[in-house]
Amino acid sequence: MSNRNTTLSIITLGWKTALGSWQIWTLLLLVNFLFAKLISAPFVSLIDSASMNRVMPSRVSLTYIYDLIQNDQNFSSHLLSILPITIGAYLLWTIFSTGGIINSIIHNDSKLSTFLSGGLKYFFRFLRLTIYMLFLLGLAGIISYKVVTAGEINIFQIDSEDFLIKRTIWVSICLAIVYTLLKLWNDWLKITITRQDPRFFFKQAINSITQILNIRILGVFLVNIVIALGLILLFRTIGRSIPISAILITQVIILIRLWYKIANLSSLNNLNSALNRA
Amino acid sequence: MLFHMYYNAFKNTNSTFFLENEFPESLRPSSDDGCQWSYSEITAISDNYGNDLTPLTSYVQPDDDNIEDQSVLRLDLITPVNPGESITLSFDWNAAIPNIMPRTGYNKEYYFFAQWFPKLGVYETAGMRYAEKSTWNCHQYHANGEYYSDFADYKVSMTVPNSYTVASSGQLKSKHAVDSQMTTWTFDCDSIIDFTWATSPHFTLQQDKYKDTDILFYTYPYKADVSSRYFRAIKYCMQYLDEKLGDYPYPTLSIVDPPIHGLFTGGMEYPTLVTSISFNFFPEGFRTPETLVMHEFIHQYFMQMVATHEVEEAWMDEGFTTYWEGRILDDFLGESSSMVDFAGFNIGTKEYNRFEFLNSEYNKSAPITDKSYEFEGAAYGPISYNKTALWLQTLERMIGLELMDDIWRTYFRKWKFKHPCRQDFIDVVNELVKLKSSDFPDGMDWYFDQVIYGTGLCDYAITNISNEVISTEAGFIDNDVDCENSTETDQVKSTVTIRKLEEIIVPQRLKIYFNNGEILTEEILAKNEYTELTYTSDSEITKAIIDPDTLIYIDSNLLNNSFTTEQHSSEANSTMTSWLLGKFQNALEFISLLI
Repeated sequence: MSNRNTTLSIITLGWKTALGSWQIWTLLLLVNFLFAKLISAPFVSLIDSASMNRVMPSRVSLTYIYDLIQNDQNFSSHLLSILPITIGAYLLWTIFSTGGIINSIIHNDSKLSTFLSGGLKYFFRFLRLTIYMLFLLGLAGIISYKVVTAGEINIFQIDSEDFLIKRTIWVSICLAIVYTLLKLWNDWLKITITRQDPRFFFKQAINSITQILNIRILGVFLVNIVIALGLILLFRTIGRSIPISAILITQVIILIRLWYKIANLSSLNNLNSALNRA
Repeated sequence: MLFHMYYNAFKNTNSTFFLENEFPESLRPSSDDGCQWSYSEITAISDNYGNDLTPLTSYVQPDDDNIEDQSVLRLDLITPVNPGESITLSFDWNAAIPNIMPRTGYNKEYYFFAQWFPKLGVYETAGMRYAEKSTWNCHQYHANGEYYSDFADYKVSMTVPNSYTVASSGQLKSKHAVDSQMTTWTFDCDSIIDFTWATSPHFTLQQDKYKDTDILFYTYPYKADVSSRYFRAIKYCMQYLDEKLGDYPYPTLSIVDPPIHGLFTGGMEYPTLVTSISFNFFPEGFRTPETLVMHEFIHQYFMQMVATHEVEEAWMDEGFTTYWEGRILDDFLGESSSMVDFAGFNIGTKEYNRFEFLNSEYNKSAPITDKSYEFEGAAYGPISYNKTALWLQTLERMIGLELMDDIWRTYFRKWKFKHPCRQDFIDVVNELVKLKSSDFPDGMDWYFDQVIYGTGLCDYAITNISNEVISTEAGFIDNDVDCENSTETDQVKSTVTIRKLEEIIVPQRLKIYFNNGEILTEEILAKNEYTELTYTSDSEITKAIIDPDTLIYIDSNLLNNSFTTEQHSSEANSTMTSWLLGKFQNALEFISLLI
């Protein structure tokens, strides 16, 4: 079997695994929905209390939203108080669920018990890895900001805004590349940790840096992104021509992103296995 | 005689201009860069009788007695000018153009000359505007506020290096080389209140035409592409005003879109020359170029032709212009997206005006009649611009668009090339409303007293609907022998409670819906904090809406204008709830993708 075919089959297998793991993605979608419901609950209650005895316009206009916010000072404070807690909790759930997904993939078993045991087993290692990842992302963000604002940018001193725009575009491209590599490193390392089960993963983290520069790993990672984007685009195009509710559109798009996540981890796992065999 | 010497406002840090407003350090001339302060001085002045008047000049401070301020020059004449006579003055004057000051100055190779010459104040004869006796009206240059001057015919020649292009008020009459280095450009224009020009070696000129008016667009080459947006917007605006008010009578309109280092001059109106602001990364959905160029062009009507006092009654140019800007932009780009239409996010001008005014902490701090420099904090903008636009929109809805247009047309034709004051506008409104509106036979003074002279807001709410079945009376009713218990009739006594939450009182239309399908509409005037309206019918009231057609757009909370006896989740609520849920779901999943 040629390399090309192997890579193609790895990607195909990844997406097959994703679509077949319906218990997992149903659970993930449900949890995402419940978290969003939790955050939006106070706002929905505010909307209701402000408008249940009112005759509302049929169109949601900015005037309506503005009057609602303007005349209920709690609206913004609710948002500010509930968001950090919920986002934090959702991040912890994501760390947990990633462990569960990879464990299910490795054992080719999408039963809830396998998912939960994987989530528990790898939680603290993935938590540490997430902290490193967030630190590195923060660092990349700070460096990007410093580069964009390097030198004295005084609008009264520059000839045109062209150079600022070009600089921002170049930094954004660099940042996107750095993020892609970091994300790939992060996902690859998670697979490695799960497969090798080390207590500390410093050596694996260093090895992963060189491993992800392998053209096949990069290729699989990028093709999966393109497939996911293509599916989202396709669905959006179809969604425009058929009468479908906004909430349903959101669910399908979230679902495609969840499939991508599972497919990508599954593809990387298959590739990791293939490379180790070779 | 009094002259404005505006450049002297930038002469020292103790000028009234700088004492009233701390400008950012980046705007202040730096001592490291050499002296970049500005000044304007008359070095010699004489009259047509040959008298040297130079020793008779002195600086005066009519507004604040700040002797460090030299923005107004007084000239005592030797020979009095009697009614019907004229005088000709000749003067030499020196001025230094400032480096980056509000609305004028130079930076790099971009020069913008505004308020650059000694400009005569306005001599208001007794009875004109508020003048009880004939007197000069000439304010010092303040940090907040603009200008006021008389109509004049200008012919201006400026000599600039050959490589420079001149954008100017008026029409280019001649251009000839002085020598191998310099060229003289001559422009003239009649019946304008000011003269402004700009020059740069980097200007590119693009042209278009509306009827007999040449539209000249000057900008730097790197953003020349924005011209199509400007031409489309300005021609639409010119046609709109042409139809609604009257024609633009000048042969040229120049639009200057400065480079980024010339932003301090952007977004300003001058006779036959306006400045705008755009960035070459602006997506089409950000309507800043359209909004600005239309706003500044409308000032050609309300500031230039109808030359109100921009310092004493800023709302009469800025507020009127904001109202017209909203009308034209809504017509041009659609009501819900006339300011922003980007990535699914829309803002219209009406929403923008409501937000700017109602969200301002200063919205009740002063009536709009305050002079521009008397407003505290950031009150000037929301009150002069947005409050005026809101109450004009409300007036338009109360009396009807046709009558409103009639008022504007009459006001414009009566007062163009003159200096009206607020009473002149009020008089036109009252005259036509009394004549043509059966709803307001006594005119609109009751409204103007509140929105022009008052500081209150407007908010009416329906707070409750109660329905009670009427029972017959109990006890001895028609005889003293038999008493009977009360029994229920088929009649219902219903009460609608209206609450006035703010100060402004306006007549309102109330629409009441009965359970049997009947709808009752009546006009009410709720003057007290609580008003209870009682109805007897054979059916319960299920719903009541005050101002059902949203005529009173100045009402600060449109949500509480209705009340239903049955709680329900409307279609809008469901849409809003789904929208919120979807946004949160997407945001959460996006965050999880990061790790």
